[in-house]
Amino acid sequence: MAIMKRIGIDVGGTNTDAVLFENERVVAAVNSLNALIHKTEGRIAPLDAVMIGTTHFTNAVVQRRNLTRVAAVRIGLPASASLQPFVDWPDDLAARVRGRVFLVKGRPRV
Amino acid sequence: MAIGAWILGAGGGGSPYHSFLNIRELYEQGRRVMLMDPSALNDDDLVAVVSNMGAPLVGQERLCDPAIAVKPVRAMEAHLGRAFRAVMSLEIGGGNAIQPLLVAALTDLPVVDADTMGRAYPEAQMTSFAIGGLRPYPLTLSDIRDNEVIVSRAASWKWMERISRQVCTEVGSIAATCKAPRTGKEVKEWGILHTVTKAIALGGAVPDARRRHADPVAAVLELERGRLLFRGRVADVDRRTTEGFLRGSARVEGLDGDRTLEFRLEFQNEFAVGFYDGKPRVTVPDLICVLDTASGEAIGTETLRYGQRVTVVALPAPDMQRTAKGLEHVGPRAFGYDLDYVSPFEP
Repeated sequence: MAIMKRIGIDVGGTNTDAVLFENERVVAAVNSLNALIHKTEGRIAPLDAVMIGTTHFTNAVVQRRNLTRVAAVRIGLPASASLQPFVDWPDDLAARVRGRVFLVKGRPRV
Repeated sequence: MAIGAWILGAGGGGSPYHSFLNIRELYEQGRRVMLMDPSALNDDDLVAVVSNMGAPLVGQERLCDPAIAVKPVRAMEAHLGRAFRAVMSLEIGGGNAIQPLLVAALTDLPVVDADTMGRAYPEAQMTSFAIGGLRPYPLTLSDIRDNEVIVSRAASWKWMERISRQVCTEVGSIAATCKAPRTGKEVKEWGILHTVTKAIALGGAVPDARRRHADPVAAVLELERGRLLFRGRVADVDRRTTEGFLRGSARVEGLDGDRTLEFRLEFQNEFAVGFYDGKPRVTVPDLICVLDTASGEAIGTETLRYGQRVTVVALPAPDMQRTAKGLEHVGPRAFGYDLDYVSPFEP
């Protein structure tokens, strides 16, 4: 079975941690993405996933700052047409984040 | 109303959240819903009994849609060759409390202040109309595509349940239905009356108590003349989906004075039996509700989780369900328990 390579980055208020996993095993744990690339040269690619955890995100939402619009693509019509993406977001947050919304036909059969 | 309906769901009925979002959207579009007292119905008025049928879990992905809710009502009118005077809910517990409001907002029919369960139950033969021996057919059913089914006759309520459940499963385990139409006379005689206003009152009392920094659980008990059965923390939940039901049990460990004792709940979509210290303390048809101790809001059988601080309360069942005939339909034996009805309320 192929080895699954994942990078986990946690950008906190004071420290940043970057970790490379091969399956469940921690290959390297350092304090920046650059340091991780440097330390593990060659071993990072091909990468399966990057997981980012950061209080920047929480802060951006709470403070409504540094937010970028995103598009929402929902694959599921003809189901759920009456409730659009963002329908239950707080109005001011949705106004800053909601980009274009696409509802496309899907296979709603579960 | 959504908060109240979720409490009256007694753990089941499906969360009213998506239905609530739908009705809020419709109100923002300028649609309005009128509530009608059952006494305002003429004896020969025709009333549509609506529900969203199927597995609440599927409803979390295939969101309820007002336009689909209207379809079986129009199909029933076409089948009967007669127009409805009003619309009412099959069950006031959970999301189906709001289903007639969605239909009403799009059709301008009024919503009758009544339902057929006074809570939530999983099956067709558990309605007050079934207890009253009223005719179980016809039924119309619509799905999200363009499928429409009419069950024009069924030999009994149980047969209607079996046939319509089969169709519902085939179209994806969720469908909008219009149950056997009722006359105004039948609704007044056999409906469980004023349950919409009950859900609204309950849903108002909980946030109101929170605003006053009062105990929201106490507000529920006071309004519904309920009993507090147990207060504690969820220690264990065992849940499995079988034959279209969410079955399982949960164990609540005591806090405060009850630290060494435990309360065990068994559920089939809704909470069916509660055991205190190993002995049955409460059974259906009484409403066994698990409330979040802090917020006073209901916790459903599908959202119960380890570690939640909960208060188990019992609310009295509608009188009709406590009769011998009623218990045949909705007592513990109707749910497969070899138990007699146990109630913390006086007979």
